[in-house]
Amino acid sequence: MDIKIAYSWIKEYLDIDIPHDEFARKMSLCGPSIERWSYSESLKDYILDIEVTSNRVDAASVIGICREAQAILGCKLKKDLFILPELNNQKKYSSAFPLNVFVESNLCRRYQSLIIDNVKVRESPKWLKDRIESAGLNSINNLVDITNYVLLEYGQPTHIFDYKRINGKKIIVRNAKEEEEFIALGTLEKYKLSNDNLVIADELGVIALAGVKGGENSAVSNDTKTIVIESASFDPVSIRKTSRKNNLITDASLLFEKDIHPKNTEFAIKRVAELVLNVCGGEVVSELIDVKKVEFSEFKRIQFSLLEIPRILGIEINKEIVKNILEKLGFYIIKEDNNTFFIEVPFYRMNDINFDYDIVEEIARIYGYHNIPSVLLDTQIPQEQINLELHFENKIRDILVGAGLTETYTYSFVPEKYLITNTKQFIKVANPLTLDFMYLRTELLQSLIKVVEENEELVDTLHLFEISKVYIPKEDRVLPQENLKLAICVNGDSPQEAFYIIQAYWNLLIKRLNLDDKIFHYFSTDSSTSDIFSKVNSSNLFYKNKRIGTIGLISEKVKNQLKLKKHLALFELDIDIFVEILSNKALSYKPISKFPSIYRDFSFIVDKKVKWSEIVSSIYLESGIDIKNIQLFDVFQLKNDENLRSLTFRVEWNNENKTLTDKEVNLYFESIVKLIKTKFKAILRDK
Amino acid sequence: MISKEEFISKIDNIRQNFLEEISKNFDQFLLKQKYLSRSSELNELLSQIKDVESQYRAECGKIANDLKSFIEEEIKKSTNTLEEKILVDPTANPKKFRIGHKHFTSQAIEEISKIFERIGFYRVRYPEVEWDWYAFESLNMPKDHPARDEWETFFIDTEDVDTVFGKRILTPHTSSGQVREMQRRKPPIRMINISKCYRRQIDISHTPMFHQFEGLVIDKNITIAHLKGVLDYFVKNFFGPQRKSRIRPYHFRFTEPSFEVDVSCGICLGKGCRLCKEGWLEIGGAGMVHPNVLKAGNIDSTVYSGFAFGFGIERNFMMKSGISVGDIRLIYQNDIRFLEQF
Repeated sequence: MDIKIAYSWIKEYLDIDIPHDEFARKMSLCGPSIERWSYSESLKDYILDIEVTSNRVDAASVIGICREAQAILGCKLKKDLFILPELNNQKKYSSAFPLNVFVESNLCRRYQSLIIDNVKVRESPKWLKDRIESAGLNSINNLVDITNYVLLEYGQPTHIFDYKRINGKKIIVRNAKEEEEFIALGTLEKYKLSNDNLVIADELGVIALAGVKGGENSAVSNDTKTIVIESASFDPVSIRKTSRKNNLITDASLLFEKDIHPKNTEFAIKRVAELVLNVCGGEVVSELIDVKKVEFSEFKRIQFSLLEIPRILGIEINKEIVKNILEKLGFYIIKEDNNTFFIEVPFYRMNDINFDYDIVEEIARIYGYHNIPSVLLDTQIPQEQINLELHFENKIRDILVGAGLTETYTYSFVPEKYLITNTKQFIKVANPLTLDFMYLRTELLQSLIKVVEENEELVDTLHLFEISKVYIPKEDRVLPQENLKLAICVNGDSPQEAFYIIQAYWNLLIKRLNLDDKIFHYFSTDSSTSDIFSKVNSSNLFYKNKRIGTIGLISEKVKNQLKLKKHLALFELDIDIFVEILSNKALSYKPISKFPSIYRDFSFIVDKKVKWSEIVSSIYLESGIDIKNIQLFDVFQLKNDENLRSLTFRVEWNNENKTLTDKEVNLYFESIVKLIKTKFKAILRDK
Repeated sequence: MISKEEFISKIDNIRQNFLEEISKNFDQFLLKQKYLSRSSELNELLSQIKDVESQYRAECGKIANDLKSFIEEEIKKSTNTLEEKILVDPTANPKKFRIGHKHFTSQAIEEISKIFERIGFYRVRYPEVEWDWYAFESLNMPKDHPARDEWETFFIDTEDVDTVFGKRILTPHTSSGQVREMQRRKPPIRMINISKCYRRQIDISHTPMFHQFEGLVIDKNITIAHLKGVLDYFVKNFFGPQRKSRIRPYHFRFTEPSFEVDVSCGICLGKGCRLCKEGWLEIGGAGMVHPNVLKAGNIDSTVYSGFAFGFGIERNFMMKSGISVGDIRLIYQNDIRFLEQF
């Protein structure tokens, strides 16, 4: 939490004579961080912006900062901050101002109150106004300003009720009834409370939301004459829940939810009373009412061994220095036994100091982290297998970038519009930022097509890829499966152009990873194929019996839905399975053949339903002897019959033991021609 | 008068120089200038032939003229390669390869992992949809603890769905990998966990998805001094050899002591300037692993100790490279005009 404190206020308590920036720098190195400050022309003062960590609510006040400074800078406090004037001189109070306090809930640990009569509510004197304004608050009137002043000074929220407005002269601290109403002071906003909210009530109803906000019905006004000061301690978790649930976050609730020690209430109430008597006049007309509902102790003891210091810090610190640091921080050393210290922790540090590590931290920070040397790790380097998924992810990324693709990084969330898939289950965020961030993608292409849509008109062609996770829901009560995917999108003026480029990228990837493209099989799409793909212009990729991805064109439906102008080819690969294949693949080498290869070109006209992959596998299967490579180099649709397609390819034959003769190759050639003619009803084109 | 010996030795000298220079591919034009022009040493010498004793004049003249024709011949030979026509304009570049672009964040991740790899850190990655237990509870943050406010967390479940692990959430930090790593392997641990993280914030300096890298070292005798050593090493390798790191007190529930880590400003090197104010820029959080966290990971805190640090990738990479994108959301907007700049 951040607090603003005027430097002059600190100097009021602290015997120091250094400029504000030096103070800030030294404090930041060893304690609360003061990275910013501003100069106020009107107050002629530097206002420090101090960041106090959430475990140190005790430091979130002028006094808290002064206590820290005392230890860090080695300066002295000008006065003991915990000695306050006794308010109750022996006088017996009349029953003219009765008040009964009932604490019904354990969520209130302590409730103190005091009545002062004859106060005069008016504008605050200048010194008080200045202090309030230096903290960035608005001056309201002397009473309200005093409670804010004490909140800043002691870090303890207090509240003042108008005595006259407390019905039945009863203060009841209890849980709210379901649907009970509460109207906040100032904003007049109405809240419907629930049973777990703690409230301060009178005979008729809620007069304050405990620890969060005072109620309009009991607030002080300009004609208030008699006041009840409240200084209490509440359960931090309850305050936090109440404040969050009602969406009412106040300076008081932020302090209370960080667990202020119950002892702090007694200093605050006396300080408020002292200031009220000085600033607003009047006299105390009640005893100091003090209801302690929960037992609390005012100190705790911790045992700590000096040997812990080198174990955590890496250096030893002289015993006398250690003692000095602890004492300056307000710790009391009860006993020391060789290297063991028995330490008493002051009440205001009881929350954050729990065990010996906490003591080491205190010693280390005051000693100064900058005084600890910097040492490179000299311990054993762990034996760890390389993470293959990460390794191949990086390798694939490098290959694709090198090939000319541009990498995207999309949000894992997808807007509903892009949730195109063949399954209907998604991981849904319960508290999304907006509807665009509600669902986690189940396919990487859901994210990529959005990028294509948004960039289509900016450049001639898009060649995009991404490697990221998708999130597949499993059962209700388990984590989803997170699968790493590769997706590629290529657009173009013709579907063939876009598609064959994406095929080329896939083939390049296979070759660069030293895989044999014959291990992958193309099968028609089925119900497991995403609806983003065109069913007739796509193919599932299989390795053995596992589907590893899909390659194809975008479906007409999705293309129209996104109003895409260009044709779009898509590729999607399951990296997890791919990594399995890759990790089993060792580099291999075949001796270079001593005998020359022989090549023949083929050109066939086939029905467009015939797949190239089927032709290739038939050739290998039925006429594959001595074939080293089959290379497709031209595919086009016939102009006069669009059901027909022309395929031109080259076959390379090689025998490792001899030079193939023309005669042998001619036989091979003829057998392929025959095979394709009969099996695929193809026509051999004339050269 | 010039003696015959003197004349011949001068000739020899010229020949020697010439052979040396032509062997070093001296420019032909310059060679011609030096050895064949009217003012060349050789021609000077020839014009002095009258000063040679008359009985040697013819002999010396021949030697000089022989050298002259030898030089002419040699120069001609060296120019006698094919005469080339101008075929290209060396300054024109009309052919283009498609140029791929690695995303800003990938580049940052790559660089950071390599730096840590060199000092024995191995890289891991853990679930992004994570249990509350790993993200908070096991890190010493009980339910309803105000410390949790610092993480604006996305929830999948509104109620606990597992009695131990609680709700499913989107991990708000890579620290959720700490206990997972302790469960995966025994010390020594020296991991770097780089992953996507999610927080409910979107504005000019926040994106709901971002990346962090988390270092975790657990072994016997690991101290704050080692943490400082690793931070110094990282800062010098990532930001530059002149930069320094420092730690300041902070508070995290899962480390004790806890620190904020600063790097000295690259402009003023820590003296303080207009850009950095106090000479230092904050880069992330760190600390010694809390015994309760070691306990959650089944590691005996009386035997082992360790440190952890967690830094944001995007902000630090921008800080390092001096890139200011203005609106950080641009990084994940995927405007091709942004992507193609990296």
